[in-house]
Amino acid sequence: MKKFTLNGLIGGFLIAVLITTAALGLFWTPFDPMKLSFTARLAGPSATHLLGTDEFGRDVLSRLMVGAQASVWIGFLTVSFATVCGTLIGLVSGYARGWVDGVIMAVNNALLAFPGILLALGLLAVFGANQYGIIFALGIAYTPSMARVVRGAVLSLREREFIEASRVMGNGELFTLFRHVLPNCLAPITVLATSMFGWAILSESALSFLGLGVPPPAPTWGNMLAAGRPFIQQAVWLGLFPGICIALTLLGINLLGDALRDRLDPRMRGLK
Amino acid sequence: MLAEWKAAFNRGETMLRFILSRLLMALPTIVLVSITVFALIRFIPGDPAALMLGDMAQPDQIAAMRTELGLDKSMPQQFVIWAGNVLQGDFGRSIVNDEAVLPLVVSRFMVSAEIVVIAVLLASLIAVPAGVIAAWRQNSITDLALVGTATVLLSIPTFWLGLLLLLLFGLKLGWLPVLGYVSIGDNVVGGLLYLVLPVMTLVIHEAGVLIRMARASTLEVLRLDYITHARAKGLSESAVLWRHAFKNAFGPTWTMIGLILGNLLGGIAVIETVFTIPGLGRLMVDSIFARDYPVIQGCLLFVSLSYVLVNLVVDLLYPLFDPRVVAE
Repeated sequence: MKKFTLNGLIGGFLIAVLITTAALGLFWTPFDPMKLSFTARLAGPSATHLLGTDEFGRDVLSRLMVGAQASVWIGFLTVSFATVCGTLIGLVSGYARGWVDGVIMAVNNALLAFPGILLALGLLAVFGANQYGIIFALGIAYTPSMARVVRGAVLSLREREFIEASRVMGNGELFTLFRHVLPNCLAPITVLATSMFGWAILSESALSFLGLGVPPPAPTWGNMLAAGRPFIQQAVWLGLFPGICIALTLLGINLLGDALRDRLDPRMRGLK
Repeated sequence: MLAEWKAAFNRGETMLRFILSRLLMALPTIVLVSITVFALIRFIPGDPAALMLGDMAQPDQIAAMRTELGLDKSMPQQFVIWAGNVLQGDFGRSIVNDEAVLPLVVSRFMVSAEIVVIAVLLASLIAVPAGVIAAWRQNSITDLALVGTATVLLSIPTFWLGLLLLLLFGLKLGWLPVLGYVSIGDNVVGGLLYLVLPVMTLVIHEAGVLIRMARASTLEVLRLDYITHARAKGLSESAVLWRHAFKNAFGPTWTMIGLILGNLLGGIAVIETVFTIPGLGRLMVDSIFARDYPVIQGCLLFVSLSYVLVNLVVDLLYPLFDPRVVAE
C-alpha cells in the first residue's frame, strides 16, 4: 500500500509539473519561442539560455514550455474524443446486446485488428497531417479499446440487482443506463483514459518526429527532436531535453496509471 | 489399450475443433479489415483520381484514371473488383514510380521483420525470466529494482532511445555503423552490425513491457493452491517456480509477445527513420507524404492481415502452454 501511494505521488507530481509548465507557457516564457537569433545559434546551456538554443538560435526551454501545451492539448482532446465515443458505443453495445451488439463489436474488433499506430497513420492520410488530423486519427484509433472495456463492464453490470431494481421502479432504459450503469463503469474508464493520455502523448511526439504532426515552426517535443537530430553531435542538448520531457511525462502517466489501477480495479489489488 | 486410443482420438478431435473454430473466427475479421482498408482510402476528401494525378491533370486524364481505378462503378462493385485483384496478389501499382505494390511491400516487410523478430526473441529471453524472478521475490529489493527498471524502460520513447544509442555507440564511441542497412543475406557480419542498434533499441523498450506482464501473470499463479501443495510436498523452490508456476503463468505473456510482434511488424516507422532503414513503416510514411494511395492501401492491408495471422498463430500455439483453452 505504501509503495502504491509513492507511485501515485511521483506520477501525480510529474503530471502536475507537466500541466503547470504548459499553463505557465501560455502566459510567460523566458524568451519568445519563435524569435530567431543567428548570433546565438547552437549555444550550449548557460545562465542566459538555461537549456541552450537550437539551430536557429531559439531558446530551447521556451520552446519546450510551449511544446508541453501541444502535448497536453492534443492528449486531452484525443482522450476526450475516444472516451466519449468509446463509452457511448460500449454502453449501447453492452446494454442492447443481440444483433446491435454483434454488429458493433464486429466493426470494433476489425478496428482493433490494426496494429498500434498503423490505423492512425492510415487515418492521417485521410484527415491530413496536422494538429486536428492527429486528434481525429488517434481518437478514432483509441475508441475501439474504450468501447470494448465499457461493453465488458456493462455486460456484467446489467445482470446486477440494482439495475433490475431501477427497471422495476419504472425508470426508463436511458435513465437506468446513464444514472446507474455509467457511474459504475467510471473506474475502468478512468484507468484506461489515463493510459490513453500517455499513448496519445507518445504517438503525437512520434508522429511529429516523423514529420506528420504539428508542422514547424510551432514547437512540439517530437518535432524538436526531429529538427535537432542532424545537430546532436555538436549540440547534444537538442537531442536530450525534448526526450527527457517526453520520458518523464510517460513515466508520470505510467506510475499514476498503475496507482489508479491498484485502487480502482479490484482484480489487480494485491498483485503489486 | 482401446481406451487409450479412444482418449487419444477424443483429444485429437477436440484439438481439431479448436483449430477450426479459431480459423473460422479469424475469417470475419479478415473480411472486415479488408472492407475498412478499402473504405479508408475512399474517405479521402476529393476525387482520388484527381488527387493522384495532381493539379496539372486534364479532365480526360482524370476520366481515364477513374475508369482505370474502377471509380465509375458502384461501391460494392468496386470492392468486389478490388478484393478479387487482392486475392490474385494484385495490390495495384504505385502512382509515384509505377512499381507493383505487393512485391514492394513484401520486400520492405522483410527488412522490418528481420529486426522485429530478432528483437522480440531477445526481449522475451531476457524479460520473461526477469519477470518470473521478480514475482518469486515479490516486494524484495530485486523485485523493486526489476519493476522500477521496467517502468522506466517502457516510459522511454523508442525514437529518443534510438537517438541516444546512435549518439553513444555510433558517433561518440564509433563502435557501430550509424545509418543505413545491409541485408544479412548479402553480408552476414555487415548486416548484423547494422542490426545491433535498432534491435537493441527495441529490446530495451519491449523488455520493460514484458517484465511487467510476466511478473503479473506469475504472481497470480503463485497464489494458487496447487503451488502451496507443490511446496508442501517438499519440492525445491526452483522446481516449483520453473516446472509448476512458469508453464501456467506463461500463457498471458505469450499472448503479449504475439501482440508486440504484430504491433512492431507494422509500427517501427520511427526506428526506421532514426536509423534510415528501408522498412515497411518508412515506406508507409513516405507514401503518405507522396499521397501514393495504392501503396498506403497495400501497406495497411498487408500489415493488418499479418497482424491477424500472427495473433492466429499465437492463439493456435496457446494450448502448448495452457491445454485448458482447448477444452473450453
